[in-house]
Amino acid sequence: MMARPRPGRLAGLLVSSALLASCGGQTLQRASGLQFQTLGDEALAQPVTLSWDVDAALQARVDAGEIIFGVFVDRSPLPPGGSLRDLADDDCRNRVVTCPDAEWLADRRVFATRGAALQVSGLGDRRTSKRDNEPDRHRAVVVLLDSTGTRVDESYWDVTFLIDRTAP
Amino acid sequence: MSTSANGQPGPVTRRRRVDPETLARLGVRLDSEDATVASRNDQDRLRRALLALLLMRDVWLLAMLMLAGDIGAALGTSPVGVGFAAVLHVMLAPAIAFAGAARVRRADLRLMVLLGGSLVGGLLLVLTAVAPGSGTLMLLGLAMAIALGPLDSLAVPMLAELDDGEAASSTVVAHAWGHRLGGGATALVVTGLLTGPLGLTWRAAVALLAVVGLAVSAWGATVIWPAARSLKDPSAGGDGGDGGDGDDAGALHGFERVRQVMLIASARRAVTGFGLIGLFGAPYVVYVLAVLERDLGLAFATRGLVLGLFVLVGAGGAVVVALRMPQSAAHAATSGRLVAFSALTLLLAPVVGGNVGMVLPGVAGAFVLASGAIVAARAIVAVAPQASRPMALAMAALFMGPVGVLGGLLLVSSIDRRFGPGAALATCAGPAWLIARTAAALAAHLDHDIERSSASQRDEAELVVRKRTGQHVPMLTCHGVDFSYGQLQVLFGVDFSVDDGEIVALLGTNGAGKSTLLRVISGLGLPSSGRVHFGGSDITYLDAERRVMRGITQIPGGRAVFGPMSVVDNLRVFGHAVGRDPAALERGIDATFTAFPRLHERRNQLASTLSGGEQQMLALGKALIIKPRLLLIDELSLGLAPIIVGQLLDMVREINGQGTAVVLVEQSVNVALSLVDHAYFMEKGAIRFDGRAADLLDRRDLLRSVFLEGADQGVAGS
Repeated sequence: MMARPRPGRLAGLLVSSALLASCGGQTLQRASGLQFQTLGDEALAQPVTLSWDVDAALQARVDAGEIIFGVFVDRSPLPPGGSLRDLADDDCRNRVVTCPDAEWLADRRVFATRGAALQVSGLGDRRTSKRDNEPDRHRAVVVLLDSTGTRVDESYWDVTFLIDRTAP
Repeated sequence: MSTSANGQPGPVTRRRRVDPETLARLGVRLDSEDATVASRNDQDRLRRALLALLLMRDVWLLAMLMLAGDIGAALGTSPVGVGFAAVLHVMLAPAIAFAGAARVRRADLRLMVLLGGSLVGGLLLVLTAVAPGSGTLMLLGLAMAIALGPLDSLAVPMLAELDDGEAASSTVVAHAWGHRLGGGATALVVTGLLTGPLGLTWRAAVALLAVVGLAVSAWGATVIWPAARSLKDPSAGGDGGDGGDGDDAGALHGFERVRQVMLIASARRAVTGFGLIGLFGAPYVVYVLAVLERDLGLAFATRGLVLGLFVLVGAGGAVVVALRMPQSAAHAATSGRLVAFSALTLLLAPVVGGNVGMVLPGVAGAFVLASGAIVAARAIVAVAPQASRPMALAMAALFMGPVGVLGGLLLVSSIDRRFGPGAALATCAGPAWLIARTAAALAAHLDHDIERSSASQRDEAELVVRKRTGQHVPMLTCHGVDFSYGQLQVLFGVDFSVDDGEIVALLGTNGAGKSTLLRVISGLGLPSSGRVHFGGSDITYLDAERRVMRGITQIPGGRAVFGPMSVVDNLRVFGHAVGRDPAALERGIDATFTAFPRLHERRNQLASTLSGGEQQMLALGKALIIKPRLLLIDELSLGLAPIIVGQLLDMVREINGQGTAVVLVEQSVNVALSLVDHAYFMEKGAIRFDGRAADLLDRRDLLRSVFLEGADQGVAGS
């Protein structure tokens, strides 16, 4: 004779199963294959060089042409499954056949690179109060794109850095 | 395993019912001897379960807030989208709480809503952990606002009702807020640790919190479900009643409860004080995080940890102070002083700067937030009638959310743009100071309002006893009624009663408050203090139209007819006002025309073209159609010829003879005393005489003071 399952335990089992099954396809641990090199606490002059170290596994995927790095400065990255092409507006598409090209993306502080470093310039002043002593803080987010410029997963790495606004 | 009476092993019997005392405090009438197992443990378990649900709610909400940045980067959500979702949540959750408090009045249903909301919230969080994109997340967030919105406004009053007495219920409120704030702080610290040092993704953190929350909710279900069943099960002595509202027809509707709460000075201050708490709290949290990020450059996870520690220390201090001071008024006074001191500390943020300059204002702000909330919530629980507490707390949530939070962020963001986040944080000292002033004002008035609330409860209890023991209960009773037009008080502790079928004269000087008292009885005016009972139910805050349905009809002074309408249409309007069926309405109209043939002659004439006497006849026709239990007539004879007055008085006698009790407000003592045996005399807003009409004639001190000189001769001669 089978024991009658208790409703509470059954519900717990169902929820746990659903959770495990659903999360099975998701990464529970933050991605660790990339690490930004320290930029220090000092404010930087433009152009700013962002660089990062990549572990062997990630580098192997880059070398195989499987992925490239998408860098988004002071803006939200693409959603997973989203493509760089989605960023282009009609004006861009009508003007340039290859839109969005690297120049058009760079104007919008979006970069795609296979390398482990990137030079960024022309960043605007983000200070809200324009106080002399308020640091001008910026944020860069690196995500993984496939060769067609489509974001492959939810992993991301971010870094904040300061821009020197004291220079004339 | 337990043993049955015959010595054989019997089934294990688990205590599943809540003890009768608890049920009684939850507003459930206990008539059955077979009530249930009396156990203090059940009460403690129910309290712990409700507190656990409150704690999990704030763990979830704060955790999602803290994870918003992480989620944004992982899913590519724009900050505008996150902000929009947060604003929607702030607007929606209090609105749902308000609707829940208004609609869900039965204690067993409240428990089920609490339990269901918590379980659904947990399941939504499970779905959140596996949500494919930001659009789905936003929808889940809104569903979460709906599921968890009513939790606070329903759970806190139930917790208060589990303990009897002002001190005990106040302490429970402190516990509740301690759990809420503790939950928030725990969320900040835990999410900071999970996504920081432990390196988990936001999905893992959400899944973990969902599983813990569901486990807590499942445990809560083992306590709350049987409690709700016990309340619903008549054999357990409960009827799932309306929290002491009496019969459902007399139960106050949502906005009637709003009115009831807002007429109590302390409750009004406390409810609106939550607006100040929102005005302070939202900028405080946002700008502490902003200072930690923009000025101190702390990483996302670290910011959560630091803010969590601020809340643990600051709010923890506020909870300790509250628990050490069981008297609400004394606690409000002490908290007011401490909050004022903390407000000054907030000003240090931009002056000192750096890590040290951040710690003191950070902790002080958390103390202000927690102290203000606990003082205000305690005040509401202490002075608001039991059945209206959920509505009062839902109103507080409305003031805190849409009014306070959004207003606060708008106000302080302009300071931020000009002077930076430190200055914005210092600006929070303004609302903090106002919170301190509110606490001080509550301290000054709470004892008085608590005493009034207790007296009101004693009156209610006395009335219930009188009804149950078959003692005489007047049809209408006004007890201690105060009334003000703005700042001008016109009624002062008026006691007034009318028996079934009685005819009573209400006499007095011009401006004594007679018409105002009629307005209070008919619901056109609301007393600032005191109670009105009709037919054994409290109708003090009932809408005027609902009083008509219960049998109270007033014929206002002057010409109480619709001038642009014909006579017969006026009579039809009277009938439709109480939803009479067409046949009954036609019978009422016929009765009116039989009583007043002149109205029949003018049936198609506009009412405005009738003479004064005919208009009063038409107004009296209202009573013949509606057949009320109580008819209030204001100045029937004013400006009319004696012969007309005589006809009208005959009709009043006839209406009274059919069983309708009548209150006749009159300037003319001759007219009034020719009709009644029982008279009241009012002067300067107070009742000066209550007794036999004949005895009033002997009170020359009263009669001489007005227009009634010679009245005795008039009456004697009539």
